[in-house]
Amino acid sequence: MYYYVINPAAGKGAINRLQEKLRERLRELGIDGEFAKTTGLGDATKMTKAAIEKGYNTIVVVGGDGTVNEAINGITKENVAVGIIPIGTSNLLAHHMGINSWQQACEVLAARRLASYGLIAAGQKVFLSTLTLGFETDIDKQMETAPDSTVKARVGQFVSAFGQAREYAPLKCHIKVDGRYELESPLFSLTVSNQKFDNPLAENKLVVTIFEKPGRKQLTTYLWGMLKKNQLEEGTTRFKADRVVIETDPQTGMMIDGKVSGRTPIAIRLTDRRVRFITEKQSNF
Amino acid sequence: MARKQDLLGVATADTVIGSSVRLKGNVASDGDIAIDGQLVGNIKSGGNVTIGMNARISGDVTGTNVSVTGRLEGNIKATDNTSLLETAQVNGDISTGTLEISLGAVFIGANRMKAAEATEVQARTEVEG
Repeated sequence: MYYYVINPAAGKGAINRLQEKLRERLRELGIDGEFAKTTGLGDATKMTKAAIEKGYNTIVVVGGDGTVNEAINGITKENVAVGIIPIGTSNLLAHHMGINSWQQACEVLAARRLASYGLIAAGQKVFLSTLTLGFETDIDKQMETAPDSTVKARVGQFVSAFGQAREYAPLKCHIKVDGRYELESPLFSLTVSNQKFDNPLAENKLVVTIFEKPGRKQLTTYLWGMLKKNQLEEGTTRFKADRVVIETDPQTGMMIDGKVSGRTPIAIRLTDRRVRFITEKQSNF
Repeated sequence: MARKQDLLGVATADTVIGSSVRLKGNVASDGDIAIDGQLVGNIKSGGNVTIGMNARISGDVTGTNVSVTGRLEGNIKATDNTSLLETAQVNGDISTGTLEISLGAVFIGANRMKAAEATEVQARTEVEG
C-alpha cells in the first residue's frame, strides 16, 4: 500500500503542474495509492507516522530533501520502505540514490529495489546524509527563501555570497569527540556527514569537516562548489567519530539534509536505526 | 611546503587537524593522522603520523611511520620509520625501525632501533658516505 506525502510548496509548486500526469503514470504502473498534502512545517513527519499506524508500508515523498528529512523522522517501523519523487529545490538525497526526475522516480518505485541506510541522530531528530552550520548554512537559508536557479540568479547569488564571505566573522567552536578529546577551532563552515551514506562499503562513522575562512583565491572555488551543491571535501580539519557535541560562540543555525533545523549546541551520534529506501541502485547491504 | 605535506600523505589522511585547532585529549585512528595544530595528549595511529610545521604537540606519538616537521615534547614509537625533517624539534625518546634526521632538525633524547634495521641504516650510511 502506497502513501504519497506531497509537499505542494516544493520546487515552487511544481506538483501543481504535474499532478495529473504523475497520478496517471502511477496508475499505469499499478502503484497508485493515497495522496496527502502537507500544509506546514513538520506535517510530513506527522503524516508519515499516521500512515504507518494505518498500515501503509510504503511512504513516498513527493518533494525535496527537506520533506524527505521530515518523513524519515516519522518512520516508526523497520519494515516500511521510503520512496522519493524529487520535485524540490534541492534533491540531493534522491540524486544520491540515482533518481533524477519524477518520471524516472515512478519507474524506480515500480521496480522496488531496496537499500538500507543508517540514520544519524542530531538532538531529538534523525538525518540521513549531512548536517552543516556556519557560513554555508547562512547562504543556503537565503537560497531557500529565494530559490531561483537561473544562470542570472546564480551569478547574483555568487556575487552576493562573495561579499558576505569576505565580511563573515568566523565562529568559535568547541567540539567534544567520543569522550576522548576536545578541540577548539575558528570556524567558517562545518559539515558532519554520514560516511556510510556516501560510501556503503565504508565503516559506519561520522565524518566531521571544518573549513576555515578561505583566502580570496580559494573563496571563488569554494563558493562556486557550494552554490552548485557539490560536495565540499577539502576542509582544513577533518576527523571521524561516533559521537560529537558541537558548541559555537555565538550560537548558530543548522541545516540538516537541506532543511533549516535547530541551533547549536548540538549532540550528533550514530544510531542503530535504519531506513529502507526504494532506489535506482542495488543495495550494497 | 604544501607539496611536501601532500607527499607525506596529508591529503589522504583519515584525520587532519589544521593549524588553527587546539586539541586536548588522545587522538586515535586506524588510518593516517596529519596534525598541524596544537595538541596536549597522545596520538596513536594504525597508519602514518605526520606532524606539520605549525604543530605543537605535548604527548607521545605512535604509528607505523612518523614524520615530524613541527615541535614535539614527547616520545615517538614507530614500527617502521621515523623522519625528522629540517624544521623538526623533538624533545623525547624515539623507538623506531629506521631513523632519518635532516640537517637542521633538533633531537634531544635517546634513540632505540631494532637490530636488523640498525644494520640497514649503517650500511646505507656507508654507501652515501
